[in-house]
Amino acid sequence: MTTVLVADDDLDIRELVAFKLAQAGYEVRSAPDGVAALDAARAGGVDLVVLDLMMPGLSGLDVCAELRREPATAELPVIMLTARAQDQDVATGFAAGADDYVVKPFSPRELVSRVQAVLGRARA
Amino acid sequence: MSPLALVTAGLVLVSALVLALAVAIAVVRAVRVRRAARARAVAEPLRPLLLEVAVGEGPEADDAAAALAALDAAGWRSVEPAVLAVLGKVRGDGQRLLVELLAARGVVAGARRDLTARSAVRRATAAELLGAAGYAPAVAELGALLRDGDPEVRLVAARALGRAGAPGAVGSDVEEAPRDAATALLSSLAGDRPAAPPDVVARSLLLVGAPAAPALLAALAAPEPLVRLTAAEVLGRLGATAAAAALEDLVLRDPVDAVRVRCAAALGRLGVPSAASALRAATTPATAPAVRRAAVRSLGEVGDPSSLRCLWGLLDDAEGGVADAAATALLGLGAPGVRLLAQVSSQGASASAAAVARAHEVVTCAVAAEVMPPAGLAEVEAVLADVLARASRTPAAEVAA
Repeated sequence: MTTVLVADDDLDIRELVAFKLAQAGYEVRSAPDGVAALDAARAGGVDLVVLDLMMPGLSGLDVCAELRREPATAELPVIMLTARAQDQDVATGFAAGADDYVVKPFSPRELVSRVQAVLGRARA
Repeated sequence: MSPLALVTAGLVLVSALVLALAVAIAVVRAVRVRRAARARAVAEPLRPLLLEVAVGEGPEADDAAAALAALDAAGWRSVEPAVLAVLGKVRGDGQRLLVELLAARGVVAGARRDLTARSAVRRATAAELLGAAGYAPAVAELGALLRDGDPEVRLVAARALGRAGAPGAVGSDVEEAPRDAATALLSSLAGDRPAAPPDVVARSLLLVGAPAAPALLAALAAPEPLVRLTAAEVLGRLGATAAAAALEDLVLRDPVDAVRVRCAAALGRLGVPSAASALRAATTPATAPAVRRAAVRSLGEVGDPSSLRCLWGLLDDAEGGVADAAATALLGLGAPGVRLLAQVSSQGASASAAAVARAHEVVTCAVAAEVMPPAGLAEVEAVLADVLARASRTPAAEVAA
């Protein structure tokens, strides 16, 4: 089963994303901050990460850049989920190595479509 | 009674009062904790229903919404805070279902009533809720709240208008909602003092998006500079190319430099090649330095090769900021600009010492920062190879050989 790691300091967002992805047939793991997200990704068994941009401690950008630096996680697909929607923010997200960018408030249906698309590209 | 007895009695009385107060606080806390635990116990089993509604897909979501709508008063009281917390975090069908649920429980109608409550906190809370709901039918009331006496209420109303006037708002079949939201937001900037912070108004106008363009275009002719400036900024960020002609006119003729600066920046964002002519005209020495700098930067963003000569001429401009911007803008022109910079840098093109130093700095930094346009590296290498070849053909080199 495909496993998605959801990292967000907002419990509602974590539960909403996890609920929707579980409905869509994914196994979901959750992390409440950047450090926990990095640990979970390093532990392995994760196929994609949905990453909040602004988290306490280690931001989503930091986590993404760290994942890209480490050989074991360099190819792990990352979708940024964030309230920051300006062109510059999106560009910064992609520059840090994100594969896609979803803006909050988000459409759960759209998020699942993007997860499917990014996983499809990663496996191609 | 002796003075000592009086003091002792007083101390005993104060101690008794402190003790009573401590007990009262502890009792109130215990009651609150029990109430919260009871509410959690009632709300916890309802959480999956709430998530199902917020996800908003299929008959399961409709059933979950119906189940929450049918809760008794105590059940609803326990789950309502969680519903309000999730509201504003999702859009699409989930958002619509949540708002329908809140409408069915009378929360939306209550919030609309509270917009005119005597308490400023209640007015602001109501506006916040209607904004988080993205409730388009409340746009007119939220617009009226921009004239509220309390600045905090006006601020919340300005933020809420962006969500309620956005194209994806609930009930956005209310056709006038985006237009009315944009008009109200822009009006809030008119007058001696803006009713809401201009950056908040601009962000809300961006949320309203393309449907705000007609109101923004009309606002470019407003008598208040702040309105024109904000309209120009938002039109540029929205990519409203239909506004290019009006912005070109203002970049040359607006009486306020700050407005001209924003118009120049907006034209750069739009990237319309036809704007290059007006932007070049705004770089003449008679224009204010801030406007010139903005116009030069935007020439680089527009990237029209017809600006090559203008930017070249500005490389040794007396205004350092303009000259620096010209060197950076040349990079934005792609291969022709990079070729010119490389030639100036290698002193192959006629230029002052300051221009040579500036061009060299920009080329070196662009190569080091790996931001050179794709064709640029080849251009730079070709020019440098040419410089080396010319150097090797000088009489001194021939003698040395």
